[in-house]
Amino acid sequence: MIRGLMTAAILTLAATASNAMAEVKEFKIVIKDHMFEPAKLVVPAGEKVKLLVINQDATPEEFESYDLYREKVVAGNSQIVIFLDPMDPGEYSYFGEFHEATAQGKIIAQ
Amino acid sequence: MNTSRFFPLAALAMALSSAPAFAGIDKVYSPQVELGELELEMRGVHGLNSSDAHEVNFGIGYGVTQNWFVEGYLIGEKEDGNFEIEEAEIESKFQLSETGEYWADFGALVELEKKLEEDVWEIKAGPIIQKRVGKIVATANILLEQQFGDDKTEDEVEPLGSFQLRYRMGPSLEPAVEYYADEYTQAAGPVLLGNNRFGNSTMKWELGVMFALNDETEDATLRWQAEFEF
Repeated sequence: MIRGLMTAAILTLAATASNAMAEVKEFKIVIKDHMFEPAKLVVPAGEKVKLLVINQDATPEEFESYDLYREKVVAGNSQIVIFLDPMDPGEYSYFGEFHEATAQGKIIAQ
Repeated sequence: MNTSRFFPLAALAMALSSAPAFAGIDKVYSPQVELGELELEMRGVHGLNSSDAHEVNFGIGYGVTQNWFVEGYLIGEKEDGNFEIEEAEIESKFQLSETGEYWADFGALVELEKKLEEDVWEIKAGPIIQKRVGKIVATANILLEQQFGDDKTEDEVEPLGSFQLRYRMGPSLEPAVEYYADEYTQAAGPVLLGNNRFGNSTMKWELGVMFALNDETEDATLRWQAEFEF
């Protein structure tokens, strides 16, 4: 059974690697003075989106959201890419774990 | 009695009886890595029925890059005698894809383990695959294991796997079911996973009971884990 699953996993990896990524819409969030800009970002519901999170502060921040199932550190003066799964219409909260008092944001899928 | 037949059988029985009956039960790794995360971890497995055997891992790990997490462990075991640190291990986890980038998320695990008082080295490596559908997260770790050294007890490459189905009920408590299998062990059972934040630190815990699915496995095994992330 394990050997069969191993073969399936390798085939899956190969299929994924050869599958060109579908075009996804890209959005930008900037971290400045330990706040997210824009604090509310509207994205299309029902499709995958790509977030470019640019940290203009010198200190690191962690983009974290249980709703969105994402948790990723962005170092100071650098940027990261976060892919969001297709969402039902609604509001999804996220925050910056290292500066939670000010770093709060929402993704609004509509 | 034909002693030439008896001694190999007795040696085999001794070898089998010295191996914990829950050796394949461990933890299920997710493919995600966090840059700069410092982690202190303790986890253990305890036989609940026929034996007092247990194994406890003490680990410290660090997210070196966005894609590479390295962790060192000391592994203590109690089988027939006293609890003793018997093995050391270094492991690397690699995040191979961005979460949500593809239809599933991919990582890889490589572990190198050394028995401290024997010339036995063990390497394990293989993929980590995770797929989320709504509030259900399915995770599979599929590894190959090979021993080296003069005192090794296995010549062949052995596969082992662990699988978890987790329900994202809420950030502080999630129920799951897990399945573990290796050459001897086959077990499955329920697990609770918790996550509690204290300022910028997080304590994650896991607690479950695995029930044997074959005769070689301990009837019931307690599995626990406590992890502090800074």
